Amino acid sequence: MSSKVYITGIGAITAIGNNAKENFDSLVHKKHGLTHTRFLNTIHKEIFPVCEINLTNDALASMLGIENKQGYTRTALLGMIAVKEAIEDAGIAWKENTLEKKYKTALINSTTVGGMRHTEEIYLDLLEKESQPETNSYIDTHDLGECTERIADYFGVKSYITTISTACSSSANAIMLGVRLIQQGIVDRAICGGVDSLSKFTINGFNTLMILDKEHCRPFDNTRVGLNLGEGAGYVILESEKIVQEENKKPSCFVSGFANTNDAFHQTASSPNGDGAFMAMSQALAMAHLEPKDISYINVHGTATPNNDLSEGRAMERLFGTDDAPKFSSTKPYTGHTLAACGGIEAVYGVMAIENGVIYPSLNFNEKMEELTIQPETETLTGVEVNHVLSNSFGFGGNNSTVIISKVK
Amino acid sequence: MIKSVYINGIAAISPQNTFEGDDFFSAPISFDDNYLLVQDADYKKYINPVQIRRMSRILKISYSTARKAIEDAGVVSLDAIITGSGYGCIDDTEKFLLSMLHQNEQMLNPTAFMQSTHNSVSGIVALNMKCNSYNFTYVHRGLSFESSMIDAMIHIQEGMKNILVGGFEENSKNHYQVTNKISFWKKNNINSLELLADNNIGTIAGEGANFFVISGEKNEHTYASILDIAMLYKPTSDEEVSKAIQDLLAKNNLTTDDVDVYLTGLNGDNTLDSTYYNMAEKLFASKSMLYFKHLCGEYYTAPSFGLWVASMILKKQMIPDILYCKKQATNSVKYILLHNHYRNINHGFCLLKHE
Repeated sequence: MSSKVYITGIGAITAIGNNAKENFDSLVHKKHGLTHTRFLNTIHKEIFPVCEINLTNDALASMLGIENKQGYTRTALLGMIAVKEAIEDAGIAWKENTLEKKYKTALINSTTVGGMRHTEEIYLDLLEKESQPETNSYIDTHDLGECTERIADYFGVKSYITTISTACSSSANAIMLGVRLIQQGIVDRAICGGVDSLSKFTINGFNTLMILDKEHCRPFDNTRVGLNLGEGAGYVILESEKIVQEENKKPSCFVSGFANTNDAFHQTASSPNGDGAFMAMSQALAMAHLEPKDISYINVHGTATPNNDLSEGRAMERLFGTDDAPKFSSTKPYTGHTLAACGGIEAVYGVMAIENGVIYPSLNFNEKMEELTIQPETETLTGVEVNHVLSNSFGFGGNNSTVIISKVK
Repeated sequence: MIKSVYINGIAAISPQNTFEGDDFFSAPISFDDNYLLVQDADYKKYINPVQIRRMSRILKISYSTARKAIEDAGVVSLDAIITGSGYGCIDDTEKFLLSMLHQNEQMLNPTAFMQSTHNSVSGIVALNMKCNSYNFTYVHRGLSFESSMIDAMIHIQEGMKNILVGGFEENSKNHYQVTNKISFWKKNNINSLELLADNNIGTIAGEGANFFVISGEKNEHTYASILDIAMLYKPTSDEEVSKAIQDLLAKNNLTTDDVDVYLTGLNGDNTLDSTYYNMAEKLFASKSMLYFKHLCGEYYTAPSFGLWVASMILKKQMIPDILYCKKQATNSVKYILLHNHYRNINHGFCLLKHE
């Protein structure tokens, strides 16, 4: 990799916390966010538990000082809250249009369903009834780019705005694009991550694929049957060496490697041997000039579907061996599977693992998978020298992405 | 951008006869209901019978276009597959959404959900071509395609050889009806080929798939080169647009005088078209001004059709009459500036050169 791209700010909101610090505390104290939905009107309400953020849209809007929330989707609001934390964590002034005063900035957002949560509520009215100003204000918020523009407008980002959707690997891809844009000198700084809010559309969609667990999900456990859905947003601020020097910043981490590969096996399933995952992890290691043994912690994709964990686990054993493979855990039981947001949220977790010398525990692991030798970490480990965190995000369409975050020495 | 890239293969399935043969709008097709649909191709040529039955219309259209572009470039393997689409597979999204709402979340079929994800197209191309490399989908409204092409151009700088880049969008009756409530479309039905004659709010809805194989090397398949692409978000004045165009040209050591053709995304909406006319007058007064949305309709990734048009003009060194908004004598076409905007929110600029 050419010039270094640093992580200078982080922000996250999930069912286990409204900011990065709250998320960290929940993780190390094994506090998960699984519950039954309080806000979604679905017939699966009592059947499939979810990891929902316990804040109404009104509450989210008031956290941002937005008085008239008409036209703001939950997705946009969640994204704005996490971006705000990340920008302020990086010490970037943004009020009164100052964000790009000195440095060209990109907003690279990602989502899988964008404004669907509102669309599904108003869709039949839109098709069958006369126009209403309130419902009409959500018509042009359905697509996936709209929430990105709301975020951009709130913070005054203008130079480079785009949105990625590669299913559940989306925000890992947002991070790698941010690094590349900075390395090419197209921007100096990039706000990268993703957001998704819970919707009936996704709950029903994953239910038709029969990969939702009615119980709390059990990543890498032999008895796992599926995932729990969640909602949230996670972003990192990436900045060039130039900014870090000029602003005299002392970032703790940088992005040392990444890769995006395609499994080319099946539209929605991963190959049993994890070919795409194996390639993504190996290529990311090669870019970072690291050996498998250098990795301190793997934040696995670990959705707890039978297919993902087998595929990912086999890929890990192929690459890291079975004897002294790095410690790994899945944080999905805490946050649920937040779809496009998980790569951003888990990058935030990776940074905090490095800064605090901590490895997070997986939850609900009892029985080793019969196909694998490796098993996840189940207790919080503290006082660990965490130098390199490898984070996996895989998705429909065969998308496999790996990002490696390394400690600045 | 440091290094230009070459367009070595193209294909388009559009409301015009753009897919088979070498026709370049010799007999433009008109639509009279403000709702343009593509001319179906013989999808069986590209998709096996088992797969074709399960594939949605947009997957068939996009996949066939992608294969044709690859064939046209004469390449056997790809280093990256990058697609752009504002609404993705909206028909399947609506299908799943409506069954969910009508059937009270019961007895739902997974196929529509599986195919509803925006990255279905890039996924299916990778799957069928056994392509394990970089796979990306941009979904940013009127900049979905431009974002894809910029990513591809960066990859060429970084050393990749051949990249498939495409834009796709499908029309849907429900989506048309819903967006009609916020005046996206013209109130009266017009003849699509007379798009600019109707001086009212709204445009006509379109669709299409337009794919390109780009490379860092020129060869006998080359149509044109892309010198640069720029994006502009929410300009507050036409001066800002004009500055963006001049900056882009200056960055490539060119001026407005060098541009032979100003190819625009004029869509006949009288609340949106003035920027193009202003640019034509201020920057390109002695140059030909062209447009293409009367042929493909308006959609988020319509600029990918614009790029297909530009590629054909540069290769054939011929401008079909149907494309002219304002005609000026031109001997040869060396540089084209393609300018498209979506609702004056997302502006995209693509600078092309004859090879």
